[in-house]
Amino acid sequence: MRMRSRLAVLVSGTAVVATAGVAFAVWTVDGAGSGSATTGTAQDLTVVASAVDSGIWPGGPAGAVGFKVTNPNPFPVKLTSVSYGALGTGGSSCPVDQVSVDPSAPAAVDLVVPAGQTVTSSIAGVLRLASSATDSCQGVPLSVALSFAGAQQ
Amino acid sequence: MTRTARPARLAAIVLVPVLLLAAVAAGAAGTHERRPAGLAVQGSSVSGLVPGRADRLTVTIRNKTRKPVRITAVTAKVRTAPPGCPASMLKVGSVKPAGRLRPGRSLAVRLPVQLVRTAPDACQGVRFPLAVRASARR
Repeated sequence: MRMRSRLAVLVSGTAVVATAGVAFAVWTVDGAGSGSATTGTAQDLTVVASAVDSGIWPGGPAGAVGFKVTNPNPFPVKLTSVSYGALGTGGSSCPVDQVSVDPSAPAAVDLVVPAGQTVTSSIAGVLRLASSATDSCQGVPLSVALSFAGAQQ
Repeated sequence: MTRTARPARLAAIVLVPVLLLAAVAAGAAGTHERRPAGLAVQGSSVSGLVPGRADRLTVTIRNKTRKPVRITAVTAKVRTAPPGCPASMLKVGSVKPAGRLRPGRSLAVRLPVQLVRTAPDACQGVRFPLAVRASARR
């Protein structure tokens, strides 16, 4: 009788352990797979001169330069600096050396171009016409190449 | 008779638990074999990520078991990152979808993905392979 009791205890104890083990095995499932995330590449902004101050005269104050800047990126870009390049007189007989960038022309700008948009703006006090400029420089479309630097806003 | 009966009983006391444990082990193994294949998980490919802008990675989960399951977590981790652009530059969130997923059915969840605002230029045009994982319970 005592033996049967001990046997029963042993059997029931083992059965409990067995049940717990099986139950745990079937209660969770999982799975794994793959995916990827690729970053974009920032595109250069395009800048086009739109208009130059028409009130520039020989020896007068430096005139403004107008421009349109287009941001093809899907994020806004803040322009912070500008540099000036090649000068032009629109293919006229006005010598290019009669045109110059004013030494105090702004080097810093503060312009935000929204994502995918074009902004029109101007920078004052950039182009100067020499006091020795001849009549051939009257009514001539002056130009200067602009180069901006900035970063994602 | 009594001399042989006692060892027999003792042997039974020792052997029965051993046999039961063996049966349990066999049962567990059998359960493992019968255990459904689990979940099939597939992540999508997100492109055009730029610093600071949130996007979504679609993860499709199919219940390959024969019972409904409840998805408890869907996560993704960056497996490798290129030089100069550490894995920490890409933040991938996790989701815990509600409801049950019936056998053979699929569920699409969207994990938030974002390139951090301070990501350097080295992170331009970079592909991050992701390890996607889904867990469920019945």
